[in-house]
Amino acid sequence: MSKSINITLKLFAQYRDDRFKVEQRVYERGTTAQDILDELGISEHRLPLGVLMVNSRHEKEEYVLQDGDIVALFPKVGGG
Amino acid sequence: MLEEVIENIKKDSIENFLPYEVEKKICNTYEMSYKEVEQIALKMNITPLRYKRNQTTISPSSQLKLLNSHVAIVGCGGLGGHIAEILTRIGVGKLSLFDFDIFEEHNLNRQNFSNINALGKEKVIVVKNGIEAINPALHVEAYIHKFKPFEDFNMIKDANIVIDALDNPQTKLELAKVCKDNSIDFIHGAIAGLNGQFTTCSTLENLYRDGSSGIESSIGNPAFSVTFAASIQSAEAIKKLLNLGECLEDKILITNLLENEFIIL
Repeated sequence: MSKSINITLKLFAQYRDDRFKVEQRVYERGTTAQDILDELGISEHRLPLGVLMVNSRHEKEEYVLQDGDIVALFPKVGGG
Repeated sequence: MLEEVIENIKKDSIENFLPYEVEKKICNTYEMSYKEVEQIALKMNITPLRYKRNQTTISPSSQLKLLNSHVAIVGCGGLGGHIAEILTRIGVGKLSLFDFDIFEEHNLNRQNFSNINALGKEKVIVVKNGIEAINPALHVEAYIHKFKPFEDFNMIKDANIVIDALDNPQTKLELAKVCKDNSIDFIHGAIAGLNGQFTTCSTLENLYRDGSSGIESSIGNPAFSVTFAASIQSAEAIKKLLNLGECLEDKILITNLLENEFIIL
């Protein structure tokens, strides 16, 4: 079994600034959604996370990525 | 007396529309409220003239249903002020407004009814005065109060719909939960910059991992994002009240006005 997995990352709203809209990336098997957030510099302190979806399902940061997953990240929106 | 009122409504309405001046005269003559006169008229299929352009989207029987409805708007800043006006103009008969805050200069970019003369005044009072001037058949309860969903549920328990016009995720989460636990229809909306999100009759755990602020604290809220979001939430409320079309139940609508993306999750 290959040690690497292919992941599609989709970013929304302010997450696109200085990053990208959609990108294919290769990660090591065992990578979690949290690892990707760390890599992208997304934290509660800076651009807090709202919706995290993998293959159109809501997931938690601990989710372990599988080959072919599509990860979508939306920033937290709370104003009124 | 009722027969006389009915006779007057019949005689002085024009093509099944009741002008304000006629309503006013009936109210004064028979010591009735505008709401009571409009209820009688709508039961006769005669619509207050102010609602002429609601037709035929809204029928006289639906108009009566709206007149007899109660919507609680929690938060009266950007979203709440505009939602209050939209629901007033479309004809929702009772609104309860909650906000503890006063108008400040940095509200002037987006908050309905804020103006130079309103600075320093309580938002709910200014909004109440504004919407009562639009529609005298409306009954408005204005609470200068920081709404705490778990403690204050009694204040909204009679509402047909509760609208989330709050500005912080913690209270939004709590309000959604209280409404879900008590089976009250709940309409969520939130904005940040040119982004918006909406859901109806759902709890908000998938949107908020915790109660801390979102990106709005760093990118603000321009006027058109606020009015756009207020329109979506108002449409959800009216559809729910009248059982029309499809609502965002168990769905999330994400909007991005910068790139014209509208996504349903």
